[in-house]
Amino acid sequence: MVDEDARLMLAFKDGDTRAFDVLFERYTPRLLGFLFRMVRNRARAEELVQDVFIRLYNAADRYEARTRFSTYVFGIAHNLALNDLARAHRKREVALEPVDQDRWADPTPGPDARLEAVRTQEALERAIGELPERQRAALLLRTQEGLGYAEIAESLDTSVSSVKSLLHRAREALLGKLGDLTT
Amino acid sequence: MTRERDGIRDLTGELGSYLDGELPGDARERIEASASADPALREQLDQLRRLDAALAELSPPEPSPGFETRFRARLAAERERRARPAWRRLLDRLELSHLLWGAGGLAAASAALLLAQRPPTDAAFAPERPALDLAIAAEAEPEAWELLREEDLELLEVLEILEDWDGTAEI
Repeated sequence: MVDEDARLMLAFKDGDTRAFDVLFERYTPRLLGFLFRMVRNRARAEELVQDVFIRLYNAADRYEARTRFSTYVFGIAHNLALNDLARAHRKREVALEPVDQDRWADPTPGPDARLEAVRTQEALERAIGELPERQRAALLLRTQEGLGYAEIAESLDTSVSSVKSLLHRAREALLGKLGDLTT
Repeated sequence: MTRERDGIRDLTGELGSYLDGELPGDARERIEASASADPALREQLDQLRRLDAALAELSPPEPSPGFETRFRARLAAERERRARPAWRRLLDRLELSHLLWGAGGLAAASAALLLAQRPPTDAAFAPERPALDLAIAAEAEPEAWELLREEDLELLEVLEILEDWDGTAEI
């Protein structure tokens, strides 16, 4: 069963450049959300999003729709994020960006509710940023992208039982830090 | 009571999988039955639900102005790069510093070759050139080879390679 995005990638492989544009529009916000939360730096996250699309562009000739397209794309994004983090660690320039309140779209009505929502988001973003990289990746792929355990396992190049463990530890850690915010 | 608590702790590890819809039917039923009988487990389940809801609501940052334009420019450059022949792409991948090191190495090798081929201008210095002595020894009587040590033979081999090298083939 080939999903719609995989069909677009196959169409691009056959020369339909519009299909690539559609994938770019669809996946840019999702990849940016994932990569920003992985590397905690907007400029680097944007570079990495571009890297993902350049990889897709170059790999189109060899593309085969063996998995869901999102699994494939986020696998590339995860690898690029890990490489980037390793480079940043080597250069000792891991500067986490503070969460900018205006950056996040906020549809919450009312100033009190809005402030509370922003506080929760800030605390949540900070806590996510403090998770170990693989736990963070697994959690984001599950809760933001809705990938199943088998798909996350494929994206992170690990086993389903490892994904289950990563998610369990990530949630425990977040609840430990944000217990009062989520009650 | 302790056993009961341990049982709940065991189930806690499964709650995330339950919420993610990754548990088989019998395990799901076990969680649901336990949660309906145990308020603490139910509360844990609710906490996890609230956490997942908060995570799902996180919105992505907006791309900075000009993001797409920058990407289009980069893609155009990539298209152009891919249109070049393979040898050109290989050269492009080499950094300038690598090229400079390569050029430096080539210059050093050429200088060594010239020095090795240059005849001695002063006879007084000739005995102090072991490489040339060894070369002469190699052309001497066959018995002379027997007097050469192993490292001398290796040095001779290197000299021969350098003399035959035209600067294009790999050493």
